[in-house]
Amino acid sequence: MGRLGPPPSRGRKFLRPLSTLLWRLLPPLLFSFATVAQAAPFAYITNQGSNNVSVIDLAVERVVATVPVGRSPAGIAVHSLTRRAYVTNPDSKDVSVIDMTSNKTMARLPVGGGPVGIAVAPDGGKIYVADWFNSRVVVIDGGKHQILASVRVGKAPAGIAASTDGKRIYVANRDSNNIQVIDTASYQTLATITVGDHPFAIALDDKAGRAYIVNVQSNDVSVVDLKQNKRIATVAVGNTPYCAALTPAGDKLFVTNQHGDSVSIIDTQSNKLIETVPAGGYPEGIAIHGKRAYVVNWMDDNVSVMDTDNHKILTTIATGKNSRGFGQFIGAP
Amino acid sequence: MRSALAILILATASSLAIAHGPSRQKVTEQVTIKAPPAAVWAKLKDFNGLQSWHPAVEKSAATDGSKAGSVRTLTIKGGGKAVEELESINDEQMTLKYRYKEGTLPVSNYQSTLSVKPADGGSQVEWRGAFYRGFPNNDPPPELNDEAAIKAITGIYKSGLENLKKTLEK
Repeated sequence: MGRLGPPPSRGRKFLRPLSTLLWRLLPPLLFSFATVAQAAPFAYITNQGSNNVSVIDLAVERVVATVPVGRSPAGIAVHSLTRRAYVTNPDSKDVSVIDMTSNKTMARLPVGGGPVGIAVAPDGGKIYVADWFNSRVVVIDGGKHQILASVRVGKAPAGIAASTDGKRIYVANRDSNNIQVIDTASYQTLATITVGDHPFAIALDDKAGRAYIVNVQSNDVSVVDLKQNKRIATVAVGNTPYCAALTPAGDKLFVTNQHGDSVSIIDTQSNKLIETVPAGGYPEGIAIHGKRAYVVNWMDDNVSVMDTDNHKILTTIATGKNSRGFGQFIGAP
Repeated sequence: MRSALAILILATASSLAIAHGPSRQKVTEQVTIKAPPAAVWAKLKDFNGLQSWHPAVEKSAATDGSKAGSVRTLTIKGGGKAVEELESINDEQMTLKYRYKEGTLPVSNYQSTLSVKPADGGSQVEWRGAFYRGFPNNDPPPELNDEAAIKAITGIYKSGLENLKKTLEK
């Protein structure tokens, strides 16, 4: 968010009255344009213990709505273009579809098994749901809400990510210790890449040709080159890492460490750990908007807001019970 | 104490590294103790000394005392065991974390934190745990469902903290 204010004086005194007047008029004008062009973003936090989603207005950093969903919501994928937030409910074995404009559930899509990880195609046409118990990814039509396909994957599929061009999805198979690359037109497996022990979440930077895989059991992050479909580096992080998010520029990766109650920050140029800083209890989901990282603390039932430059916690926002926020949870309706 | 014992004996599940239920559960129990935090911490930090204050534990054998990485095998009174690894111990913050590896508790992927803070001239002890139920798949049998797991851990924490208070306030 840019800050509006008068421009610095350059010593041309005769211009000052005019510029002051302009700067008094401009903010309301700019503000109204900004609201039309893009509303302020929101964070949608799944609360597995209270069966709902906390909607945080990131402009004011507090919960502005609480949306009831299915049982034990865990995964989340927010799609700003279609104004839908998709939530996996592993205990009711379905997906809740939230209309982001009204913050109401508009549909419940039965999936079966144990839906956990979820991703949406960039155009919103397909929703990909990882079924933790049945070694498959269920593909749902984003418009008609019908199941289009059931794609065989490895054991205990967890995190899932769609490429920017929509042509591929990447699935972390937790109990197979690998990442599966799937063509979204043919549903054929293009590659299977061995990573660390029990990969759970994926942070994708396909512009840079990289994927970062968070390995819960080996306490590290695998860096995968997407051209060669090969692991090119392993970066040790804190105890029991879970999720990761990249800065908009892609220069830093923030990783939550569940058992470490901390966040590790990796320099993605050198693939070296910058530092590990304390966070809340059992940090899980993480997403970044602008210069803020939002860390979901499962044990503490809140979200910590971290400055991505100096890695300091700026504030904490109370959410529902057992907050997870597993997935891409920020968007603007 | 008796109910905690019963739960420990009844439980038959062992921890599984592979897969787990879909919803992690948590339990937090606290107790205030009329004793200085340092004295309380001295008791808690002995990773191989749980039997000196937990009424359900008969004996303990640890591989490396109270050093991170040490693995203790607890023998539970009346049968049952728990193998647990010390993940971290912090004297400054008076906090220790351990991970359950295997045993007879009806849980999986279980991690626990014990900490002491000063409170009202005495101490406040917090014991909190995060775990999945013992049954890794859908439709668990009642003795291995979420409720059974919560009940077991709650029983262990409550009876332990109660007796810790008694022991230290003597």
